[in-house]
Amino acid sequence: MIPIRDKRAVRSYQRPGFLAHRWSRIIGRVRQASSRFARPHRRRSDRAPLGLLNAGLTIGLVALLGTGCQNEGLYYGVVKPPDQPELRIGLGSNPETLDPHRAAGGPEDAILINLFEGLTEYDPETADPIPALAERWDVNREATVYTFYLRHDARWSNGEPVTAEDFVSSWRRILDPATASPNASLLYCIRNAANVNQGKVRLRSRRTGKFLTDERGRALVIAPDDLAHAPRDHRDVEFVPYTPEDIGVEAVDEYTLRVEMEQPTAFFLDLTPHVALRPVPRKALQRWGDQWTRPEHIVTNGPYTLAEWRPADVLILRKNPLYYAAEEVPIQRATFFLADDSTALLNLYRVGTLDVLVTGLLPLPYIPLLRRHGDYVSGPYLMTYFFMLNVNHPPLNKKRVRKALSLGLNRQQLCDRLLQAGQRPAHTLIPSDFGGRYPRPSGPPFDPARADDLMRRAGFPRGRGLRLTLTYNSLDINRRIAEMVQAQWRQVFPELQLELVNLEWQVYLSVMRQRQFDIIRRSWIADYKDPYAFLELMLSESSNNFTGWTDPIYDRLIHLANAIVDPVQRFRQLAEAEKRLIEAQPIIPLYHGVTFFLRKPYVRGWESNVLDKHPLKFVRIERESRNTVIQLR
Amino acid sequence: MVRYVISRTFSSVPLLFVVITVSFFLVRLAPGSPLARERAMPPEIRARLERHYGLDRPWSTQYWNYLRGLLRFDLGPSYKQKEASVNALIARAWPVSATLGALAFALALLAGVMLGCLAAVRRATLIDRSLMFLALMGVSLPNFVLGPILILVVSLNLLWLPPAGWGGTRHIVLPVLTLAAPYVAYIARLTRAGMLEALQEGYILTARAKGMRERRVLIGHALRAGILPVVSFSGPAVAFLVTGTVVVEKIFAIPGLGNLFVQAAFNRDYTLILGIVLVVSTALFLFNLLVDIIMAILDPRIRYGKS
Repeated sequence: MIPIRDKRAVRSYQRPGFLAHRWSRIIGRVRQASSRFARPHRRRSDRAPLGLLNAGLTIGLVALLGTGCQNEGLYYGVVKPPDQPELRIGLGSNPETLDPHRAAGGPEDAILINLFEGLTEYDPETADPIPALAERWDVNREATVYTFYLRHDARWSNGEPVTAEDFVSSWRRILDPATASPNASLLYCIRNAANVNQGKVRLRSRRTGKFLTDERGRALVIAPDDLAHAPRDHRDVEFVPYTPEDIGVEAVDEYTLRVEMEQPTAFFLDLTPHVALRPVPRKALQRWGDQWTRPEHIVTNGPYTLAEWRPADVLILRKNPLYYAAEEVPIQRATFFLADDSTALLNLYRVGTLDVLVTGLLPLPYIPLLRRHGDYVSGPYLMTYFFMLNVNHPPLNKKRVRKALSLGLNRQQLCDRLLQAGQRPAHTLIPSDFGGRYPRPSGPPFDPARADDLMRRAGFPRGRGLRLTLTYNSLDINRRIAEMVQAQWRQVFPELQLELVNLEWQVYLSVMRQRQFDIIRRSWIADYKDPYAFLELMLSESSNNFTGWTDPIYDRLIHLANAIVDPVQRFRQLAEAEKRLIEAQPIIPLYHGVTFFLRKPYVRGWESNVLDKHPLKFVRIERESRNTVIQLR
Repeated sequence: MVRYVISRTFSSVPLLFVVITVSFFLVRLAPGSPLARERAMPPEIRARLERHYGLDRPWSTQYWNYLRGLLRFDLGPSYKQKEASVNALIARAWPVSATLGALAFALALLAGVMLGCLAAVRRATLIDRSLMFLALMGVSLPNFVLGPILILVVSLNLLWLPPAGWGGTRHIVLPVLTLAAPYVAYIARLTRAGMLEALQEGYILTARAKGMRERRVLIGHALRAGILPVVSFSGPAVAFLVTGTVVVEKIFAIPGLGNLFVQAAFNRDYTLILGIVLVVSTALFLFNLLVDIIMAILDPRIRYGKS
């Protein structure tokens, strides 16, 4: 799972650097004119005959110039390809672990997808699954059995072959309750996976030796908590816990993996590139236990191996010579910079120490400046920023109030005036139509007249008597969004009393968990390329649905939809569910996010895609960057 | 003297104990948990993780377990960095902060004392006034202003030195300068004041009357007494410098103790917070003790253990 960067809160310490950048813009023009070595690939016409300035003079000129002039360079800072085929990436947060089964996502994913290879890999441009360890696969007509045919030449970095058994043991491990994997629920579509992970228990008749079933022939299953209440004197029934061996995954032969689903699962392939489904080395795990991810112990099967990891500093990957397609991997070495200060990273990018600065690290005030440079790359992202409403708190229990609040929001203004990175106004939870296949329901547009009307009918004319709190975690962007929302609502409902509650990250999380809010900001990034990655969030049983809104029909629609094999029909039914959700309005979507990162012009293959995944094996360095500059002009 | 050192050491143990106890409960009183994240985990998985780290036990049990670990110098596992122990994390970050702090302090001491002496000897001249003006600037300019200015000029515009990171001599220069600047200024002012006071003393007159060379009068007598305020200031200063400076490490993205501490606090990484608090308070105690000893050596009027 991808937390929207747990550690981003730390980045609010970026103040000092702001100053540096504002000033640098001012001086930019002078230096641009003078410094020949600072920006080697700048256009010739930029070079005015000012000569070399020393530092003192520069400072003097800052004082003289006074007001700012924009740096209109083609690229942001120094463009100089590294001497070696290596890539230096500003990642901006420290991985918590390199164990794909214990990682929660985000920064870990960016590293792990290069260390471990799964059945499939993300296509660098579409994020669709493309063959990796699995050369090909079959699906039966009901989408209940998937068979993967693995390539025979794949090996672990210790020389052992990667076999179907590796997948079996890995998936058993991630689903084992003892692993306590935060991502285990991604595999719940596999037969018995949920039962094993939740420690469920079956009932077996002592007399017949058969498992008891319900009227529809399904096994009778009880949760571990209920076991305590079960009658002890049941002589004929014994309780049999599910074991990892019950999971519907088996190695048919050394290179054939057969996966059985709990019910028809048409989107299972989209899950296969996720790091949670990538294999881990059995033997290294047995030998080293928790310490198996240390650089001296780790065994990987991906295009890279771990060379060095200095927490909070750098993590270095080296090309894996035993990787089956090692000749096709151009980048020999990748260095991830883990420091979490976004200004420091932007400075490193600017002087040419970094080649890529990943999404989420560009400070909001710089975006208008950075957008004008050729190294700014942006594109659609499966991410939605929204408010969760506590429907148990009156007056938010009234649907009219919730709808009025949503109708009173001018999301276009939010995107154009504040966010400015190409974000799109959101009326629905799901950001994409998945290539035209998903019929997105239309959400209510900005309609102040109707909002006013609804609010009056709900008993709060012009918002009179309505007191609400809007909670967010202290991050510049959240504060500014909240302030803009407050201003917009004040125009539509002049007497609404909206209190903004700015909380430190951990306090915010605990307030959210305990549901001590009226309205709280959230954002959600899809784990895989399917509408269900968003819709599962609002299921009644979801541990992330803090609204108090539950709808059995919504749940049923989704569960039924997921059992439909035909994608068109399935998407149509999922859209029905989303329509219900938007109609009930326990959430107010604000905007759909975009990926936006910086990439030096000589970096190829690090593309924008909807999951923001960038496998390094597709990345290369183009040395002819000077020509690129000319071409781009 | 030896008795004094021993008694001070023993008296510090209950003090550290109090610090640890208060911190232990304070961090747990703060809202949040090391296991909290934006995407809430299913309750059964969260419960399992809590059990794994012993966070489901009552605070008193957790406290005794922690103290038992401390007796073995084991600061426990980090809750956030899953494969690392607190000992390992501190062992990695502390040398970075210590290098930075020690260099900054050495620079501050050297430059500060020299400039302070110069100002005192050339009292009320242009040199004195301009030095003291610069010192005032240095004291008033916070390092979160000075750091970005240095980065802007030296790194971003002149491209002489890297703007951030850690790894070589080139990375050390700017943070050391930033860190040292206010200390240079403060030490210069302290030295000047101390020297001026010492120069009024009778023994200086005596020394001069004996026909001692001016240089020896200044260094051997005046400076020896005049530097005392600097020495007593140095104890806590060194302790803070070598245990990590949050702002400078942040600006220059240095993987030191200060940065680690900020992250630990944000993540509610209880064991890591406590570990760093323990290291910093121990360092504070040690350097204060060291200063007291140096004071006694420098100033014949100070004697411990006899009264």
